[in-house]
Amino acid sequence: MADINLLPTEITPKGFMVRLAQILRNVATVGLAFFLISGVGIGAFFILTSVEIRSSTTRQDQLKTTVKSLESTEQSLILLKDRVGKVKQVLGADTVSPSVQKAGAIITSFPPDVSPKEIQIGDITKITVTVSDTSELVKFMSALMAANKFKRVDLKGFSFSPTSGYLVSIEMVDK
Amino acid sequence: MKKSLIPPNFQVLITPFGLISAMAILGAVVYNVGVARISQQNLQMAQTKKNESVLAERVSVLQEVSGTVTTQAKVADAAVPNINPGLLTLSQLRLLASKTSVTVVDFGIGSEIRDVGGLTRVETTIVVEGSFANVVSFVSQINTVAPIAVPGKIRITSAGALSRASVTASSYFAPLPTKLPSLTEPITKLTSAEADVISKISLLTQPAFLELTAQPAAPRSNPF
Repeated sequence: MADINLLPTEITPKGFMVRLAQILRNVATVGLAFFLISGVGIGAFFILTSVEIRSSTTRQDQLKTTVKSLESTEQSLILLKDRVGKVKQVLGADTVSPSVQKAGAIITSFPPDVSPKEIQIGDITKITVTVSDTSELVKFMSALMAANKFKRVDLKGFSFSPTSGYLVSIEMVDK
Repeated sequence: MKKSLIPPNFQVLITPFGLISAMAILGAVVYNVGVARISQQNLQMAQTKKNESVLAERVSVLQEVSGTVTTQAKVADAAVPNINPGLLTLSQLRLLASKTSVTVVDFGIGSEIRDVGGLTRVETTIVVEGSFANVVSFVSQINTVAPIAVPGKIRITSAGALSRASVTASSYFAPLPTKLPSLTEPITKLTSAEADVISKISLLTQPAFLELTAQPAAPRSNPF
């Protein structure tokens, strides 16, 4: 059966305007649906993150209580780290101890006829010894060279006295 | 029939346009507010997670070191104390002299000298006499005592069987840290370099302290 429209043609919208209105209405419906879905999504996000934040805050409170109970340990750790830093600085300033160990290794192995007279240990190590005869002197110098503990060994003085023997002064610069 | 002022072609578009416009305005408002709130919520979430992770890490580190850290802190504090260590160093060097069988013939403690890195230095001078081997033994063990004594100038002289060593050693002190890091700051465990330093200073001869207990007052005898 054919549609009968009794409205006057001047108050009836044109066909393409009706189609446009229909399209716009559809767009509005889709937009509303999208808007509602987005709203639900955002709401869910807020609820979930709020719950997560709340439970994280509760866990933090428990952790803070544990940290509080370990306060003395924490103090000791902070003190330890501070002191270790200071110890590093102090040990870094110690340039003489390695020379003491090196010089100690040499002077404790003096041959029997080599008598120490004066030893100064610092950035430069100075050793003055008396040696009764040349063979002992050769042994002493050979041992000194073989030790290979110093960067440079300078013979600073060499004299002979009939009563005490040879007086040898050596200066050694650390490696 | 009354004729409308709005042409029918526009009348049919009013409702959908109105709906779309209302949704656009609402959407813009929600977008502006929502984006700001979401980023704020995200930031809060990230901060909370970070704080929780820092705290969990702190608890883990503290529980891990709790068994050893107190002893290690005492050792480290003895190596570089917080008060002038001059007398303590002298006492330790005198004990070392006794151990290495040399005689202390002279000693002195200098005044405090400000050093770098918040450290203050005190120079202790000691003169010992004995056999050459014992004097050398004393000199080579100076850096084995706590507080750390850093040898400066060492002079050994020998005359016959008697040798004499004059040693100037510096010991250091620094004030203790005064505050703990805040709860949101991360705390790290000891690095291997720090552990090496601790094992090195653990070998130092620690000062021996004698703790005297309080005695009750004795009754006075009647002088009459």
